Amino acid sequence: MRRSFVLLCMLIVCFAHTAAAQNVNMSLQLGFQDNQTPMGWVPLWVEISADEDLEGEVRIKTVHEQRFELAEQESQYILPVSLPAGAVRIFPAVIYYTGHALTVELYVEDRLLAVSTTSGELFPISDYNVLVISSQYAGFDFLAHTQESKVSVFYTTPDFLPDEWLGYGQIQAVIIHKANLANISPNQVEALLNWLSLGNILIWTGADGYGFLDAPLFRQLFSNSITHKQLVKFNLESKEPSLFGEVDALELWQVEPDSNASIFLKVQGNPILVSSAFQQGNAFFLTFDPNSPQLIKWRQKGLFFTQLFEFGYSPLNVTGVADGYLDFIAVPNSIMLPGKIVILLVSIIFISFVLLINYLVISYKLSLTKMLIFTIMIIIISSSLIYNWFKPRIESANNTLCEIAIIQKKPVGSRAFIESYYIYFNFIDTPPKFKLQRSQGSFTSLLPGADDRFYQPSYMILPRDSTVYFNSNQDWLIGGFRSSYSMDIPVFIEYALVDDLLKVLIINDSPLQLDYSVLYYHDQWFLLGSVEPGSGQVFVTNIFNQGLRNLQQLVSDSLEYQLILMLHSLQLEKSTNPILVSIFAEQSKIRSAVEVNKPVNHSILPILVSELIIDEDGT
Amino acid sequence: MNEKVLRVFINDLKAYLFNFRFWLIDAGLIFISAALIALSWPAGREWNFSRPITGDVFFYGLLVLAAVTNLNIKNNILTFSQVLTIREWKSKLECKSWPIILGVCISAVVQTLILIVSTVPVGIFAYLSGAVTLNKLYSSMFSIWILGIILGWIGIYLQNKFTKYLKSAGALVLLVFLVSLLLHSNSLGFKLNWMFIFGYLILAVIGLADLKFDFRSLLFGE
Repeated sequence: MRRSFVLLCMLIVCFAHTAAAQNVNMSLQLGFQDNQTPMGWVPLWVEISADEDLEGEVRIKTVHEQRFELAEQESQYILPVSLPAGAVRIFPAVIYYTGHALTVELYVEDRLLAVSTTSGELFPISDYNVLVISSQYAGFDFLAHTQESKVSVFYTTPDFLPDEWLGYGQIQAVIIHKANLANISPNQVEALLNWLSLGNILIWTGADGYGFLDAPLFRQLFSNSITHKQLVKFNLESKEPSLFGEVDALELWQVEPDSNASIFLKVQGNPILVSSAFQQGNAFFLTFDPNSPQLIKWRQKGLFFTQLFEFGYSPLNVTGVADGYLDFIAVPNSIMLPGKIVILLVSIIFISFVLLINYLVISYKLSLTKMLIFTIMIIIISSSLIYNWFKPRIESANNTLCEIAIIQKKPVGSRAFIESYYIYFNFIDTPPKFKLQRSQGSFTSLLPGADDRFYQPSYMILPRDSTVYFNSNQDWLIGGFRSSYSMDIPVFIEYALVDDLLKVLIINDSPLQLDYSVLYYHDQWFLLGSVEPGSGQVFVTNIFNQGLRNLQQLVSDSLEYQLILMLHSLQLEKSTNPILVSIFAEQSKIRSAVEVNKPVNHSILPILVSELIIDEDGT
Repeated sequence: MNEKVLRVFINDLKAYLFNFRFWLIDAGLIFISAALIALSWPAGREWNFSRPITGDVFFYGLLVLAAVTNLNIKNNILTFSQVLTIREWKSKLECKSWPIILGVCISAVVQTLILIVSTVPVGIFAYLSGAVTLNKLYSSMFSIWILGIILGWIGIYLQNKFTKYLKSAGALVLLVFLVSLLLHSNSLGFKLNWMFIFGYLILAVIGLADLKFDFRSLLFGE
């Protein structure tokens, strides 16, 4: 009876513990407002509340569709989570979203506590995806109705700003309007600035009060150039064309010139637009509230904003372009193994020893034990000799990491957006871990169907540093993965179109040899030439003359031919501007953003792609 | 170990190992394995990201060779010299059949081990070609050894029960083995199905039990 009572008590305690541990709530927000998101890198927020202390991990499973087949493949991101009892915490992540529903699972010591799924509403491809950071989810829908460009508008609040720049990966312009950014985290500020530095556009409206404009981000961009707000009356009789049409009065922030910020546009002597260049990006401060009731008659509002967006630099959509070509492009270490005859000869020598020793043992009628000892000794000595003779030859090929870096940058500035593709090859040791600083970028899987032989990463861990690792049980590992990151590449391009001649000056301040550069324009190729490290070179070419239809006539190497095929898949033909493609010397010692926790033979093939924008009048 | 079991084991092992033909069979096994490796050897080719087939060729080759040797060749070539049948052992030792069966079986385990282990130096080539890891090499050879032992036991059964029809009975079992191997093998690399091994173990145990109990006389009388 007593024993039954103790058992009952233990059962009750177990049930109570299980019930308490399972009292966990998890909710998700994918992309920005109302789960509306463009396809690509998107932010994800996982909100977790628990009654008990919780130490576990969130597994975010995304499904990719095969490119050529209907089969699906899964990528898994791991996000370690911890929170004290009774707390509610939001964990941010940035993942590569392909349009399929996400499954998010919360595990504590491999015990599944909660599951949640979410899917985002994908937007069609727009010229500009604009993110409005505002406490009000409205005010900029007029942008979506502009005739000039296709614009998609997304809203978010300062609480839901990504803390990695990749979270803005699909956004070309950010508008900050009536939003208090004073309390956002340093990581969120850094993410926004990193994104801006790549050539994007940030517009801060003057709707905010002074308190909001005192945010560290604002100070960093525009210093102390904003003083006070004042009602300004416009002279409608003036001959100077007015930006605002029939608007006769408007409340404007007063601006004092500053080293960081410059007055970009004035209306009747009043600063309207302050600009601040942040590396390749441009930040603008509107000294007025574009949604002010005084501007109700301003008809050109949409056009005004889309013209500001054009100051931005939209990189070509490179995601996954090299996935299908990795097998051709990656250059592994090559070794020469001994010939077949050598194998047979070594085997025959070994066989002869086995036969000789046993013949002698049988002839001299030695004991069974001696026979076994001699035989085992021959086997051990032969194995050891063969192993030590061959092993140094193959070690050089083990642990090989081939990286193909597609560098996209503006002609000016050094900040570049890089999409790198990797093949990791290993057959002796356990595979290493690959790390990428989260502020620089993140890892993702290759597109499924890239090549069936490439083993995809087992896990991609997201906190602090983005980490990729493979299942170490693989006895022959050909791992494939990708990273998207930003870093400085000091190659600058100046160009001018004079009398049909395009003069291109390439200044190569990097320690890398530019093997050759080619221009792609209207489906034709023009060969420029090579540029030594630390030097500049001027190339002049008539891009209106007949160029080469096929770059294979210029480069005979099959590797380079594959590169050209890959660049074609960047859909260069869609661009109306010349595109400079510079191929660095093979095995260039470019500093990679990826860190490896053990020595590997790391070869990198960087390819620079830069669009040389020519105005309609040909300048 | 029981004294009789030990005596049968040592004498049976000596009967095989002190016959030079055993070592010729072993040399043939090593040479064919080496030839298979040499045929699939990736020499002269630029090292790239594709796995050489050397490992799979070696493992499947060794598996078939182990089956052929243990089931057929070893029994056919070495029987009727110094190797005694269970009946002969029984009349010599005047004891029950189980110590004899056990001794002969343990002897088969050691013989198979010698045959398989002697191919390790050649197997190292498969590892050095990058086709397999050392772990995979040893684990696969271990699996082949286990299957070799089981087939050796089936060979003992055939040797004692089908002495007159040893060649044809051995060839039939070998054919069944090759067909079942073909059916269960996959293109993703060498991997033995343990259910497949277990199936043959059941067959071997039934055969060995038949040597002791003689099911035909139990069921149908003398």
